Amino acid sequence: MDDMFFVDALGLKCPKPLTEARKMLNKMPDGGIVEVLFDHVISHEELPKAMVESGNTILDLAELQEGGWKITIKKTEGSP
Amino acid sequence: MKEKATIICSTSEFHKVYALFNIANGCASFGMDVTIFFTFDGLRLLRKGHTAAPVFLQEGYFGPDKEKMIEHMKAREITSLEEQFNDVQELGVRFIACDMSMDMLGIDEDDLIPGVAVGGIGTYVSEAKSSDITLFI
Repeated sequence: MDDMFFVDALGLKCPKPLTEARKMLNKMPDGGIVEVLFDHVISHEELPKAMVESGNTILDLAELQEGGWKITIKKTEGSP
Repeated sequence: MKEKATIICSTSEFHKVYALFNIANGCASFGMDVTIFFTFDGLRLLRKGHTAAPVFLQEGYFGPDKEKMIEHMKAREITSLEEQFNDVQELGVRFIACDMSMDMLGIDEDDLIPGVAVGGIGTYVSEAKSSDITLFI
């Protein structure tokens, strides 16, 4: 799928899960969907916050079997 | 309209510069427009060849243990200062150099890294008035 993007932030600490997700979001077209893998515990709260507070949509937040999470974000039209 | 953060950086102490870039990256990650206004010793960060190189930064909180702390950060896989700076640039954080401090310290526009705007206190006030977050570091 053309509008699917992927970020691997596993093993990265503050603020990298946030910045890596944001860098991808800035490059994506409106309506694009990005999956971000991360295992930084505080980002489990902060990453959804950063995305929702900037107007984007969280489609899913799932725990990974091997530890960490996968968050699926949809870039909303007109959102930063 | 996008939310805005405006930060003054008046120092080149390692721990404060690290905090500056960390906060700027956090704000930018929340989709905010971020501007850093560099004044006094903060201007050191904008000089060609000096940017985000810990060797040019003052010891600050860590004192003579600054180098040891940088090694410790590496061992603990904490995001490096250089990486924080690269992200700040990649996320489009705007840099403004204080015109008065440049005069005071004898720094010309040619001494600064590319992409830095020069502004006075009016530029800061105008930015800060419409900002959701303002900080002085």
